[in-house]
Amino acid sequence: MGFINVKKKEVQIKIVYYGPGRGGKTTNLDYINKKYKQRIKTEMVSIKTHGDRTLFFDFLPVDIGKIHGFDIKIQLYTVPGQVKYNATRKLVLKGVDGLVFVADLQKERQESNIKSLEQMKENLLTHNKDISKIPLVLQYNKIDLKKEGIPLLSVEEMEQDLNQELKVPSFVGSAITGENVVETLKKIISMTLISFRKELQ
Amino acid sequence: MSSGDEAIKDLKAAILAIEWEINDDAILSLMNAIEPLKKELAGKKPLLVCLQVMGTLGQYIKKAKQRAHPDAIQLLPSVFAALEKAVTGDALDEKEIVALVRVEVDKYNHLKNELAKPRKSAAKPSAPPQDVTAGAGGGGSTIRNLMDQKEDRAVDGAFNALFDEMVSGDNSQPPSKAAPSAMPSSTPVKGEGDKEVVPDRHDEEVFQEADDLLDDFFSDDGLDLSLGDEEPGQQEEAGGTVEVDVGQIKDEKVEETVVDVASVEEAGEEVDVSKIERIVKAINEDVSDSLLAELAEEIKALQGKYPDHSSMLLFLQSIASVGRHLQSNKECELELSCEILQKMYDRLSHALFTMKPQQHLLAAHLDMMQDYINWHEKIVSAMQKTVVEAPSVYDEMALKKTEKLPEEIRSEVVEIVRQEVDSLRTELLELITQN
Repeated sequence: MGFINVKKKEVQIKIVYYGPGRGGKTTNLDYINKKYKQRIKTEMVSIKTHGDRTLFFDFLPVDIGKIHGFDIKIQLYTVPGQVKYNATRKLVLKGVDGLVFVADLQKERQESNIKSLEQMKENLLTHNKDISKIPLVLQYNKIDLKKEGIPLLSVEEMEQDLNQELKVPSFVGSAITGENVVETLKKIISMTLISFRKELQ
Repeated sequence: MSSGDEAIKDLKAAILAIEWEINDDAILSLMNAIEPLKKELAGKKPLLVCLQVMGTLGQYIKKAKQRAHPDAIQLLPSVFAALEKAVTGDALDEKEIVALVRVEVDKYNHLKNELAKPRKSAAKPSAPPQDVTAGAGGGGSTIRNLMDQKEDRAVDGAFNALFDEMVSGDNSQPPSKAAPSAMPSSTPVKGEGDKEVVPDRHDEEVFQEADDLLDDFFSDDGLDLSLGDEEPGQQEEAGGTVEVDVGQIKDEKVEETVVDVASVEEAGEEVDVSKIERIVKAINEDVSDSLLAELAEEIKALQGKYPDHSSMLLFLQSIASVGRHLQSNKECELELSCEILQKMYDRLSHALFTMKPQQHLLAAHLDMMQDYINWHEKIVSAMQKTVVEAPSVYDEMALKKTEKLPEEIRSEVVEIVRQEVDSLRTELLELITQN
């Protein structure tokens, strides 16, 4: 859960990037980190295996500035996407305030997207969180692969698979080129901060 | 072995378990171990006081969990050691035992005073609790807890209430009357200014100020847009990223079932870090370049001497980072950096003291990471202030930072974490399994 300290005039929010393995969660954070490194000024911590896969999680703290005198501190996390690391994913989800589900547009990844979203739902339940209530944004990643002729799912198919019931904001993007990466992040932070509005005013 | 010896052994095991990991089972074991000893030691008031202190500490730690004051966790084995000595040390007479226990009670009083300090301003019993919008079942985030340094004053309050009762029992009543059920049942009083918020989805709402802030922060104005030439996900050297290659890792499931505890144990050799203790102490009195150089040299020596002692190396690496900061930016948050240096050394020292019988160092490492991240945030914040007042100084500092940090951190961390991560994962999984 988010934390507001009126005395220190500080708000802390935890955003987690979730999704199937090799979906682009870490690449999202990498992009943010590199593009805004002059403003972020802290370092992204990323623990990976030899195969360049996230093992524990990536962590990127970002101070975005002040609202009504309150420092807004965002902590961005990714979970390891590989199926076998579900215990770690559960742990990282503890205390999450907002979620970005990074789905893979590749046709062959259709099933893993659905499974991963289902698992996220279950994992959230273990922390007494309801997927229909928590701020959530979907990102349909890897649109850049279209140019390479790789078969991709259409946006309609993605919406049908993942967003039919949730009806949350979604973005088609490319973490590798940065397309809609920032928009996704802005949206989830904005959605999460809405719950703090009363406290901040 | 007598039933008393058996009970002492059980108590020792319970205390060690709490040192390794604070959870309800461990506290329950402690309570279960204390009860038979109360009967065993009936009539021996100094020893019963020890048991009472341990019981009270156990209740406090149960309530506070990771936020428990570190001294409380350290006091448990200390009180136990006194009890054990009094019970098993046949050469001790009554006076010596009382003196032994008195030392522990004094430590307990000191701890009580420490915990009472932050409550002074908010101790009015009639003060209404802060409006807490958090769901009761939401639980705290382990990671957030580790990042969160705020004091849990409600827990401190519980401790003080228990302490008061224990002290009054100590003075005038049989110790066994200090019951854990004396824990206050009223709504926890949040600390002044502290509030937790569970974000809900408000699809239709717009928070204009937040959106404006986000637009400002994420605008392209003034950015170095060299990014287009690089693909962030494919870059070998990630600017500003501490990227750790930890090698081939076993599957989670495999690790859950085939954990060879012995393989992750630390080297049994005694490690002497007294020189670091001396240097850190001296730095806290007067920071000088020569001391900082000495610190760096000693850390290097220890790293060279114990290349496989991954747990210790992780601590040393963090201490070295703070040392480097002091070397390059002594004027920036000097006091804070000295404090964190001392704290890190304390954690290292404690870990070295307790690591031999345990494999669960994750909490200690994460605590240290928490300290480090908080310190780092404050340093960055201080530097941000500096940029407002003296942009040129800030630019210079920032330049130094970007030039030096990635290389230094990367080279040091990679090797350490490669060895460390297997054991951390094992511990993490155990934590998760137990939760």
